[in-house]
Amino acid sequence: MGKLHKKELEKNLEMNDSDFKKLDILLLNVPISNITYPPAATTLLKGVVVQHGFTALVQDLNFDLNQRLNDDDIFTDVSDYLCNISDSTPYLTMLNNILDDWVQDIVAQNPKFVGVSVFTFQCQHSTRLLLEKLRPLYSGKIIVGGAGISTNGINGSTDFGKTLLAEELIDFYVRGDGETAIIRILNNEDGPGINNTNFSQSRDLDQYANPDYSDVIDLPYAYEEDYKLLPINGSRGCVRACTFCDIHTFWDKFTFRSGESLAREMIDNWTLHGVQHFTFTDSLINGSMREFRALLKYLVAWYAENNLPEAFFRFSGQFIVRNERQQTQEDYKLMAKAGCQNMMIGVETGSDEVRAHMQKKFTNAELDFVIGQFSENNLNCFFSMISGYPTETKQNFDDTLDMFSRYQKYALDGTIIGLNLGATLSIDEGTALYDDMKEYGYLMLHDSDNSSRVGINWVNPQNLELTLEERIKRRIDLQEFVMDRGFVVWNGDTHLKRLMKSYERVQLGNY
Amino acid sequence: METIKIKLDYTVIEGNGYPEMKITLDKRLITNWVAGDDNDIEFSAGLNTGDHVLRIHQSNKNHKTDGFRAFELQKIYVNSADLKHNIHNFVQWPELPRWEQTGKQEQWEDNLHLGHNGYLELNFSTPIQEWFKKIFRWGKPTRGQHSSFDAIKEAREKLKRLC
Repeated sequence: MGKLHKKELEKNLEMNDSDFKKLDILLLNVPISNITYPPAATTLLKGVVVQHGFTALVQDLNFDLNQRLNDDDIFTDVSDYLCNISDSTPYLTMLNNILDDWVQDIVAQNPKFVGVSVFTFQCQHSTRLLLEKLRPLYSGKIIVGGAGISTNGINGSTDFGKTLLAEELIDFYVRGDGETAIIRILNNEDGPGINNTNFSQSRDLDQYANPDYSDVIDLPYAYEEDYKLLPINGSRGCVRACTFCDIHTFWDKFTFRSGESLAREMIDNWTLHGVQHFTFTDSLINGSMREFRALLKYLVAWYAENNLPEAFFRFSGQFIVRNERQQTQEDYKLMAKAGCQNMMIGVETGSDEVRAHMQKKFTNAELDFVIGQFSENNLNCFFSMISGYPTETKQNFDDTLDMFSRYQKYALDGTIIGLNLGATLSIDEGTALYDDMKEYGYLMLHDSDNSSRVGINWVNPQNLELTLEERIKRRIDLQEFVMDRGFVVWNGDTHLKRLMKSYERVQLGNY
Repeated sequence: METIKIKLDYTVIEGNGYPEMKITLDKRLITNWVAGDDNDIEFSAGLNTGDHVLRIHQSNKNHKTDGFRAFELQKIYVNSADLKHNIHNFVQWPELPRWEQTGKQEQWEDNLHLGHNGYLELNFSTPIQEWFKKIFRWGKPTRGQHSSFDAIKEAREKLKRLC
């Protein structure tokens, strides 16, 4: 028996054979993704599966890999290999042994179904490696789902799922709401989003049970501080329609849970697991100001009723910039009292001109107000950036640098606690930039077949100075500029490595 | 040498004139002024790496004639960043009038109201970014999420090579 999930295995050992066979579905998280908190998707699915009377077990193989590769250099090397940043690793034998252990464990548990959560395209390689070993040894049904079943964005062609199905490595791929589809599959039913792309979006997110963290809650995730942190999901879709993003096209309607149900889930996790820290995993926490305020007010009232201090819970999420009329100074005070922290803001650029083209619907002046409110109320945030947008001129790029010069004070005082600079703009299927390419005038250089007409290898004939090389240069310059000024950049090394690998492939003609 | 820009926001109480103030950094006079209605003052100084002491002095107050004349620090910005709650790290060293003296030097923490002659003192260090890291909570990437100048250098060299 392998080394993973001692607690679950010990629990299973206490069962007799007939109990053991009752496991309906084993839900797996596969590398590579962040391990700062327990997985969101599999635990959410377990909650729903159990709600419908099935048995389920969550196993986090991503976490297990991280634990087993305790040498940072080895971990980085294997991680680069699994993320397709490098073509090989000297630790292949070690990786194969780990995969064999996992397969043995899965086969020993003999669930009726195995569900693999392919969180992003970075999980595709490990999914394939696992399934290639698992399939010949396991007689149950295999399901994959998650954004990673499409390589080029969530609204992509589901290419990875279709390929795995064609190769008979899986029995089902699920696109869209997994909560509905997984119950249909367990009941041996077909349906929208099961081995097809015509999923129908659920309009009532409050109907689902809370995520079930019981299998993973005691694992020592890489929590930032010495406390447990749990994911929480409040919505599907987005209220904005940014040109580079596919969320609003994938989810046809912005659907959200009530503020009260979110607050109750947090309180339940405090009661059950003693957890006070949460991170919202959906695209925006303040998509519905009505329900956002309801959440904040419910929490503040609950703290008071229970003689707890303000900000007893702490929670992060993705946040959109709203003007002062939509989100007032009082709202920021309420955010602080309720315990908001580390809001991820898609700032993207310091140029109003570029941001207007992106359809972000906010200006630098409005951003100044928001960040000022964050600083004043001791809230903090994280910026997500894109350098090298198709319309970006040198002056627009300089505007971004200027913004970071102006905002250095917010890096120093801990208001802006991190930046994600990305790996330059990749034009993905399902985005306005891709779908309306002719309208926008972008010419993809590598367009020998449809499947490859995406990614970073594009040029805008109306902005010829913005070559791929220039975009890479700006991306590198931006990272150096902000790091020199004390901003903390997250994942910069991986982004740069991936970008340079992609560029190498472009140069070699095999991008 | 690192140039540090400091801005102070303050209020004053007039008493037979405004407070006569001076700023010293590591006992070096940076500026002096009469703190009138402007309510803020800004100055810069070049500092070597290491520990430093900022002092905001009030002097020439006559306790018999100048009544409640006082200077009160409201905000301090270093390189435009608000030190926020860290303003309370200032310690006041008052020069009490003879009739209030107890025989030992008074030292008042978290008292930004300088109603006597004396000074408010803040200890800090440079590089200033490192000091900010100590006094504020900065983000710290988890394993596999870090960023380095080495990777920047490597990417730049690779771009040059492949171009």
